[in-house]
Amino acid sequence: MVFIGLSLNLQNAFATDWFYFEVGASRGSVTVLDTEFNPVMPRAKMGVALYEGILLEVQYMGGGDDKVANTKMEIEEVSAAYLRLDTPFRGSMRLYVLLGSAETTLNIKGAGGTTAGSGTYKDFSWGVGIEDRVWSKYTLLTLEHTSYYNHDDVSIEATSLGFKLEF
Amino acid sequence: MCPLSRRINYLLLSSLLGLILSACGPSGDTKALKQNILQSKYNITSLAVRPVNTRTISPTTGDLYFDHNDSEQLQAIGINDSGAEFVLEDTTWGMTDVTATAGQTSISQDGLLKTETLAAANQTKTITLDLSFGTLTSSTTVVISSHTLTPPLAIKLNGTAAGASHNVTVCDTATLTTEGNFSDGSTRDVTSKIAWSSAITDSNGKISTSNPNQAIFSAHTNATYTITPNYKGQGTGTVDLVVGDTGFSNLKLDASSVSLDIDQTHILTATADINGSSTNVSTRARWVSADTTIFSVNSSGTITGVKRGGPINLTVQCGSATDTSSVTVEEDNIDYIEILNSDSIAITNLNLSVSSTTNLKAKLHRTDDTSEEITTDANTEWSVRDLTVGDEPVTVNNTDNKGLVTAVSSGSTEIVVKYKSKAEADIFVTVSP
Repeated sequence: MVFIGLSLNLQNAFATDWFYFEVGASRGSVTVLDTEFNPVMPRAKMGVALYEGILLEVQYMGGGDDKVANTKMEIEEVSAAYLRLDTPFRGSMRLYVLLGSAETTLNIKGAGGTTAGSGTYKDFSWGVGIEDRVWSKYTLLTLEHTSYYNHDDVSIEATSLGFKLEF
Repeated sequence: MCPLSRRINYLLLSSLLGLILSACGPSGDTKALKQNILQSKYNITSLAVRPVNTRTISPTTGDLYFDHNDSEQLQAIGINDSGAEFVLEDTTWGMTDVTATAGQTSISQDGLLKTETLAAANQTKTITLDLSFGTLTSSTTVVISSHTLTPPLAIKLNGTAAGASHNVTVCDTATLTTEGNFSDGSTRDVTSKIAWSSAITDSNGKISTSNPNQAIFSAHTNATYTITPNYKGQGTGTVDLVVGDTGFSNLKLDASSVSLDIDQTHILTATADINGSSTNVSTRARWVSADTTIFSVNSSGTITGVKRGGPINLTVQCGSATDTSSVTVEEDNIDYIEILNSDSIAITNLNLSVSSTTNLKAKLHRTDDTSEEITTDANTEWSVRDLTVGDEPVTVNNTDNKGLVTAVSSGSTEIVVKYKSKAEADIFVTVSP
């Protein structure tokens, strides 16, 4: 039922010429107990308008790792789906909020492969961002902070810079 | 967009939001993640299992021995390649029952081992405890034993086997541990299984078991204290501790007098020289209020005001040594204070000429309609409000002649009097040439 509704809505969104695609880079912050890793990784996201100022957005990023002491943490992938709420433009800028769900897969390796583990972590996810029109009406630069997981002494967050194309 | 389409959008939006939020509960095995991080961070290469309480047994077999029908808190220890040890949390515990009979022994993920009741005395049952942390695993053999104590218990005093009687300095401490011989021929430390609270009957002495692996004895009264530890009703041991003044001197309180309000508390500290060392004996000494209707004192020297009165003696005692402090309880029912002139008339303004002096007074009014002059009370503070640039035109004495005002120069200011920082009054002062 929901999927049928979504597809109807997508048609409606395309009818308003409101679809976007964004590529960028993220600096992750994965904190486990008191150890923080900061992997840098590429990120892509796309979205469609459900209604004016209300959008559906999906994100994907992965392939980043960081090493602290003798521990290597790799973010294999992060996938997330959001409802996105935009403010109207003030000048060339606007703010937005993301509310949704995210799933993160992490890998851990110790020195010399002494330890290894992986796990998938799913949680409520939120984000806030600001974007600025540059060059044309359809191109924007975005800066966003997103929380993907925060539970039981483990938090996964990222701050991202992106280049966005609106169609 | 038509109204119908808008309604459909809102409906879809609500459905989607509900769908997302319903799927947003956190999931994922953070325990394994944390284990891997800590294993790698501390270079942990092996694991060991230890009981929190001392469970030494001789002859040593390498296995852990526990009583049947009992519980024991276990610790997971991580050891790195340098031999350093770390107490691990968030470990994963498991258990394998290697005997044929169905086991009821269990271990929680917090490491609490509960042993089953064996069918008869002098039996053992072996299980294997499995511990995992990150990529490491270890197996530990645990022997559950229903072997019984062969009385009497052996008592150790300060680590040395105790005889029938030992001297202890009053308000000093003595550390007690116990060992028992069991029917399988082993000798086991059973200190953590003794009910020490019932091992001493004289209330002038006490036994503290904040550390279950040792009992700490102390007494504030000279006497012979018979200590009788009992191991699960299977047997006892006995030692007489003869408490006396030898080695004790110079008992002192940190204050010779204390003033406090009703319901206010104050902690006094008692120190003494015990066998040449200055020692805080506050929790070991005897504390006595000469009038418990005025103030009470607990066993560690905390006094509490009960009603207005005093000074009343507080006595601290260790054996034949005592020291005292006088305690005064004041009623905290201050209503207001006022400033009086030298004729004892309440004033709000004062006129002086340069170089003249006058004596002001302060009067405290209580809510029960009583009043008293507090001009020179230790809790009364006189001061001049800092209202002008440079020196104020008057000074007020707050030391040996409280309330004495001296006009220094022309001008005006305020004189303030405070009582216990709970009440304040002021007057306006004008000094003419």
